[in-house]
Amino acid sequence: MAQGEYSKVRTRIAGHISDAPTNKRYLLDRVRLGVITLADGYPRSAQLIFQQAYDALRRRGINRDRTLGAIAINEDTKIWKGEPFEQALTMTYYAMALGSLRSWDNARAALQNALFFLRDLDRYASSKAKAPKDKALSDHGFVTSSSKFALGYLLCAIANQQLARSEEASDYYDRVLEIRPALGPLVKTLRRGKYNMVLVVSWGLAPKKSGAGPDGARLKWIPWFPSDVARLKVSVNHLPSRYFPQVLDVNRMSRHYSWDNFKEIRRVKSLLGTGLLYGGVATAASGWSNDSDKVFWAGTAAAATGLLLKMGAHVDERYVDLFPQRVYVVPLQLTQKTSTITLKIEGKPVTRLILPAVPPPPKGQAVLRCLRLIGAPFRSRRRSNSPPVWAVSGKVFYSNPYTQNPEKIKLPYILGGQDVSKPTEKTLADYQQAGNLNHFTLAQLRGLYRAEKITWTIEDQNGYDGRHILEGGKSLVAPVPASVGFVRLYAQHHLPYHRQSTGTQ
Amino acid sequence: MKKGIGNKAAAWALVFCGLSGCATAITQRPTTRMTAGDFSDMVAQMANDLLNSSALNRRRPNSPPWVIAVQKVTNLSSDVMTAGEQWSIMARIVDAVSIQRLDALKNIRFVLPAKQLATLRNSSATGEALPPSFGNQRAPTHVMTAVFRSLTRADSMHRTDVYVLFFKIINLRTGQEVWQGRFEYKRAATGQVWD
Repeated sequence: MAQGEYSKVRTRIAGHISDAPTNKRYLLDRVRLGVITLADGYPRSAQLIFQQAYDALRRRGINRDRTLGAIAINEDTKIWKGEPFEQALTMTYYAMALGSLRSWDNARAALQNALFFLRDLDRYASSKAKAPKDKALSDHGFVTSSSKFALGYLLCAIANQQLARSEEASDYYDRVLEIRPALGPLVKTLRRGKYNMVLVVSWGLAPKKSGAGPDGARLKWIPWFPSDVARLKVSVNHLPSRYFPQVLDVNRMSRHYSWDNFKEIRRVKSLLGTGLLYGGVATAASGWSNDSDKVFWAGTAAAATGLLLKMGAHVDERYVDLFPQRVYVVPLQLTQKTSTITLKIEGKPVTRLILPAVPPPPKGQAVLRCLRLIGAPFRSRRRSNSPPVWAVSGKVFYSNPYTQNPEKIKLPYILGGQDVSKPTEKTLADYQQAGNLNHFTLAQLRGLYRAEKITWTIEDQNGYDGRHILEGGKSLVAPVPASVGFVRLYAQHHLPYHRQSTGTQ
Repeated sequence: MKKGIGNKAAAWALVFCGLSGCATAITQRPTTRMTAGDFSDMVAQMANDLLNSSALNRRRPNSPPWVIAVQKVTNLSSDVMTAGEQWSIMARIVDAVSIQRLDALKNIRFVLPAKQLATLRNSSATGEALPPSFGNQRAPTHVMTAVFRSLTRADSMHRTDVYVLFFKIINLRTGQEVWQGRFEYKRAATGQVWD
């Protein structure tokens, strides 16, 4: 993850994912796969994965029949559904995948569900603590949640703005300002509406869910990437840089939006288990020394029960390890034929990333791009403090469906060239115009790929984009521009293709 | 003896099953999401409303032609609808009102909207881009739109969604609404929202 090799991570997860809805990791693995697939620049695939996760999350009480087992044995007998903040982030990621496909109406629906999860937790907590109820509704009455999830409100405002629902957008922007006044300049820029691309830039890894205290019974979120207030520096086409503040700190969110309803049960099990274990051992020892079988076995049984209780008192440590630690939101207005965008987090040179050849979005609604910056928070002997060479090359070495370089459209990569476009009539015409494959038909060109078992549509890959041929995979599906996947694939040289089939030209 | 052990083993298996909650599939849990059945009911009612509307009743085979461009459903509800679902609702209504019958009896035709036409023209689904002249004679006179809205009431243990689907056919020249339909249904679910 630290080196931006997201395709390796997602291939590993995809290889072990279960299709059975009764599998305890069904939802967890889908969320992990969706997050990393979106980060790698494949929003269509990510949207299909999140669709399944969304369907599961919308179901209530899926562990209703497993509560007794969770109490008697352990919480990890339940089907994982995540903490409320993880559920809200899953919905937010789904919304980002939909925004990447310009399906803003659906993105809005997903974000509303994200806010519902947190609003319900706030109400639940306030009902327990007898705290004041929800604050007054916003100006037009659209915002009914009182959570502090600024990213959710901000993206919801953007979605409504794209749908020309100005009053609802305004209410959400007002809510962002209410909870995070420091985001004022960002909100002002967004309100003007002069953007056609929204970069949602994330970095780091979410805090680790861990058990602490006796028998690991106390839930603790341990930050893996420390929080700070570093801004994101962005420049487009070498224009003066702009700075953007963090919109979300997941370290903080995890502390506020956890639902630890098993806290008391685990504590009681740990205490009771310890008591039974020590008491049982003492009783068994007494029975042994007094030659009393009944006392001995009663003590042994009590000790065994105590041990089982202690073993089952630990926290369920399953969590979404691939969520980021922080998120920034960057609105951009791209007007040139291609743009170069440079990003870096203040004080973290390893996060520097250059996005080359970013085309302007089509006219109409804005497009969202999810960008996951690379780099670890600490320096180690194995890890350098500089970004990988490909992350800062600023060039595109391979012609692809989004970046057509006439110098590079001469021959397909599988035949020693530098073009990785899908085999179409136009692609073949380009090769033939360069004086190559003159006697080929489209069917023959496609036959070459099929002989190598290479596919070029998401449908041929059962809805999931596998590894690209430039990285030794069998997929020609290109990641979208302005993604780490696009830069990692096309902004560095790869080894020549090694053909596996025989008997083809 | 063996039978006794077998009964005991079965009893413990049942207890264990009960504890671990076997066969509790996510797909069987309650949800307020829209279902295929909801779409079917909606399509049937909307098609019926349209066929029996005064706008269509007045038309004859020699009436001025109506060429109705169909838009996909705009989703303003709190449930996500896939693009396929958004298109399929409209496609099913068009199918249900019997395109052939309307063309012959009422001089009404349904056509694709311009945006989807452009997508089809450039589509590589068939391996060939369709000719630029494809669909040039559409010349729509009306547009059929649909908007999905919902009202949600939810807390940690209950959720209720009321979905309302509004349909309209609008005359593109005058902006006049020539037909509108509405379909409403309610879904409720109980259970812990975070569990």
